Amino acid sequence: MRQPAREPADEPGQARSARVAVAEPRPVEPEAAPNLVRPPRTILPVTPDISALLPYGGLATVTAITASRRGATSLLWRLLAGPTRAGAWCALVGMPGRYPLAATAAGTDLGRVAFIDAAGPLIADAAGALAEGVAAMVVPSDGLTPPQARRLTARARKGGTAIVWWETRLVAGPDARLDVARVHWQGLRPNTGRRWGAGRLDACELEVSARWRSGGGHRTRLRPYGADGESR
Amino acid sequence: MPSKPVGTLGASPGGLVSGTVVSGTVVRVPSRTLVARLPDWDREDAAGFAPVLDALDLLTPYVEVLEPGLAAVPLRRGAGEEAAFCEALIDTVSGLVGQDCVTGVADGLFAAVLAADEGRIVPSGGDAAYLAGRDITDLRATGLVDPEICETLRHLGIDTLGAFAALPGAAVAERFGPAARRAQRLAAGQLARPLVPRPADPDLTVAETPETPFATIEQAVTAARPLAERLTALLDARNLTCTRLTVTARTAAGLTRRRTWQVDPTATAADLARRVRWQLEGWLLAARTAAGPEDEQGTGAVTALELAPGGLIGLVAAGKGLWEFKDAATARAEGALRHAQTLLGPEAVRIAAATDGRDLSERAGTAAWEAEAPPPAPSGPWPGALPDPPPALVGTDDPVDVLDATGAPVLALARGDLSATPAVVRTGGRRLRVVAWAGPWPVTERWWGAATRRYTRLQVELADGSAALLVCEGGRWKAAGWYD
Repeated sequence: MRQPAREPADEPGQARSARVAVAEPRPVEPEAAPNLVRPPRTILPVTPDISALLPYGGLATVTAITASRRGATSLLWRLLAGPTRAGAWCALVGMPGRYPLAATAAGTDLGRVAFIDAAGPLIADAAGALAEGVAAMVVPSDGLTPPQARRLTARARKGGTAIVWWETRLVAGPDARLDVARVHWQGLRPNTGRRWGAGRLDACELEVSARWRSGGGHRTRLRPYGADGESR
Repeated sequence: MPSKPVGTLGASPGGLVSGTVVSGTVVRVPSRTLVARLPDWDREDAAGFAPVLDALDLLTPYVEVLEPGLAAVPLRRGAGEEAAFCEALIDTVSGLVGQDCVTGVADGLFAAVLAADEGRIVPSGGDAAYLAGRDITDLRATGLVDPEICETLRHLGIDTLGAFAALPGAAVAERFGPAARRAQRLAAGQLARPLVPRPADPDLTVAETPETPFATIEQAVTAARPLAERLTALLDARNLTCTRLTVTARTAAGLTRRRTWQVDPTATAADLARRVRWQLEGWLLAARTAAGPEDEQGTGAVTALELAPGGLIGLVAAGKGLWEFKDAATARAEGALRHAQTLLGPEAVRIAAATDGRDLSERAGTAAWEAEAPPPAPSGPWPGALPDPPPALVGTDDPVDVLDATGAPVLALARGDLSATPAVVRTGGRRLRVVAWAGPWPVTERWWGAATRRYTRLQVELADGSAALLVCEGGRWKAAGWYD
């Protein structure tokens, strides 16, 4: 019983960049995940530019984002744009210092994002509690020991919660691992000996590669802060 | 037949009057009042009266108990045959407790109580005329006057309520006091008070008595949440909601603290729990202030926590939909977030939203989810605010050095440019070449007041692919945020 996807940002005063189309998840085909785990119970809709990066065309079970890559936070917010716009609660556990308005700029609905202040051993406790019900949660992988991480994954699979590992330490066997191969900041002007000038940082383009547990993968360029939100 | 004094009748000085606003809901004076009296009821037997009230509940959710054996319910004008309703009520009650029941109906409570003595239905608007003919001893039924006053009045030749009502009000107040003056207005059928909804049934009170007393407020607050949920579940099951909430806490020192709050009838369990939290925090603060700073925990431990609903009204009357819909996924997610709250404390689960401001940190407000009011929405565009996209990582304010090609520091000048071209940014022991940049943008905040602030923003992209928002304030550079 998911809420219908909200109309993409036609409220007045909404930032232009927050316009987000939400792609419907592709129907799950058995061929999509040969011989491995059974298909996930819930697949959260994501934006069309992200959709091709994920094995089921939507956010499901275990996804990992390599945290050390520049542009990873932009990718994360873009990934959560679809689910939150569709009314699904997402939680960030123990990830301080994220500027929430960057999430808005990437299309995420902050009304459905819970920032959980937790550190050290509390990260595992909080994640365990959240795995009972939130639609998706983002957890830094070095906050849990590998056995804890395995237990949490099992729990999330059972409960239908999508885990996004913020991969500060490599985790074993995510269904999809997303890497920002390169980020291009746009709008700044090359350094040519001037002391002032026009321009501002107004967009970025991420080159993202996805590797799937099933062996497949995908590469795409996406502009998380673009008005169109389309991959190019 | 002389009436016995009735406890609180008319004795609500400064109480509810017509159209009193109770937390946003207008409580209207019911236009008709029905009083049911069980003449043979043993007045000591308060507990046994509960089944009768339950029976009345079947007919109306809004019952005021005047005393055991005497209850009043409001009737809506034109809601149907009053006589038929009285018949149904009498049948229900006598079927339940096997006792006679007489009813009276009038516009006002006082007239209805008197009418119940003789099983009458006073026609609408006929209260004054009906009361005028009653004996002066009936004045005692207001509970406001002594038998001596009634005697005195009779000696003065005032035999009926009508004659009493006709006396000059000021003279009555001067001779017999303000209570008698209120009784006079009741006798004239003027002073109407709305029925006070029935006091909480002991069944509806929920309490938590922990094995080990709650030593901290957090523990008590954590227990308050399920308690509030139990209360709302209990009320929901009876199609009731409350307009008042009485929080009672007993402390290890033997102190009982009690406070009644007005609550919105549409309040959720979360709202009620928040009330309890505020109350507990308030008490804690008061206790600390009274006991001095050295008594950190001492007598504050809470041994029992109790929530009693008050001012019960029907769900429909409260405008609370019977079909309040929250889809299963959202309900599950909120449950999980609450669970996290119980583990980490209510402050740990936060939501964020854009709010008013120009500075990065001012523009994003956060609030504890369900425990605090969310940040106010931005009231309009803020000139000088940084356009999107904002930096993704903030809060560290790493000090940086911005150097020119020769290694000399670059300064932001007052006229809005830089002293030299930035070539290198030194941060955390690393020297990174500036690949591209934009700015500088001088910002002056609150130039009109003492809190004035001047700073300059600069966006840079560095050789390692990172991009930062640098701020120069007072000649010092820091990384206000990193793009990521």
